[in-house]
Amino acid sequence: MLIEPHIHMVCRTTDDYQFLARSGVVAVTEPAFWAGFDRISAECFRDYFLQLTELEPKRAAGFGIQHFTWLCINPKEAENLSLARDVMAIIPDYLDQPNVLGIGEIGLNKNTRNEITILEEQVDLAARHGQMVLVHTPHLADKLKGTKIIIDVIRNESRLSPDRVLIDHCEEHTIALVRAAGFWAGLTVYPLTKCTPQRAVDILDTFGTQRVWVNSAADWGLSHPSSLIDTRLEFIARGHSLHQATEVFYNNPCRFLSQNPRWTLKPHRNVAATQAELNPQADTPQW
Amino acid sequence: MPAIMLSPNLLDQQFLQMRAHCLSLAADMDRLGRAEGGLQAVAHDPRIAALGRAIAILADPTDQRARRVLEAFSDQTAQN
Repeated sequence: MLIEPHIHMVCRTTDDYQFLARSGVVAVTEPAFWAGFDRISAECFRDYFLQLTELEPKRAAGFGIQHFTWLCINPKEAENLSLARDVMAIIPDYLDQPNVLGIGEIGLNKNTRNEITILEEQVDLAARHGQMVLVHTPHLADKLKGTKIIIDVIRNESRLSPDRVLIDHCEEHTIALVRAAGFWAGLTVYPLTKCTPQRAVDILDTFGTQRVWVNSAADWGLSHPSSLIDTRLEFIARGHSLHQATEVFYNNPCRFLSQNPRWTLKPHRNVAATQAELNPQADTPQW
Repeated sequence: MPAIMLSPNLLDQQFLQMRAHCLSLAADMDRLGRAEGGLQAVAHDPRIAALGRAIAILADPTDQRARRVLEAFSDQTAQN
């Protein structure tokens, strides 16, 4: 079993839900994000939040997948301060929906002053409502600087414990910074602009598998839910056990997300026994 | 927890893919050179300089090349 902890199912077809289910994905979490165009008013976000809290859970349930979500004004549209504040004003209306896990994906896009202002205000929103936080880090040349700014902003909010915050889209130059500051880290396997399956596994091998999750962040761009599955296959192909794969691709997201009581899936504890049943020659205990 | 694999075996397994990546980049540069204006027209583009720094890192025998390549492509200006 796997968990896809960051995917934008509003952009994906029903075939993708079927693919995820066939691949063993039992739960997804979907952060609010930029739709590929700037919306004209906060009312548009009411529709979006209804889609995230009512429609997508039903679509997912049709394939036996649990659907969870995170709500926010995304970093790109945060450049419009007026729109961003109007959206932040309606977010509390939806925080009691049963599939809402917290505030996300907030963060930065181009590291502008307006984006930083709204990041600070959304961190405050999360702290006031006792919410967990999922953070988007910028793309390409802006990632290193933006990640440092994000870490500083969140560390300045004493009401928010870093272990209830996951900073996503980490790469080789940012993951150590994120975890050293006490946060969880995310690796995104996405064509061209983020990690390949091979690099994601390199990072897991090099930096360790503690406090990290892996996701596809599949959305309306050139991307696919299979990148999560491919990364798990690469991990196993390098000689890691099924138990280790379960630790990374199921148990780790469970550990982070179960800090919210709405997340009821628990880490597996008996995977080694399952593995021994599947392949008794390979991993038979020696005692 | 890296899985143990001998480097000669890993090279056997990955050499063709590494060769293909290298060749792809060479062809990209050739294509830029054939385009109107050629490489000269973009010689002062900071992205070309970043590519040059990244390619030099590939030939450097010290490790953490991926991290250093990413840093070569990163905005290094001070925070706002």
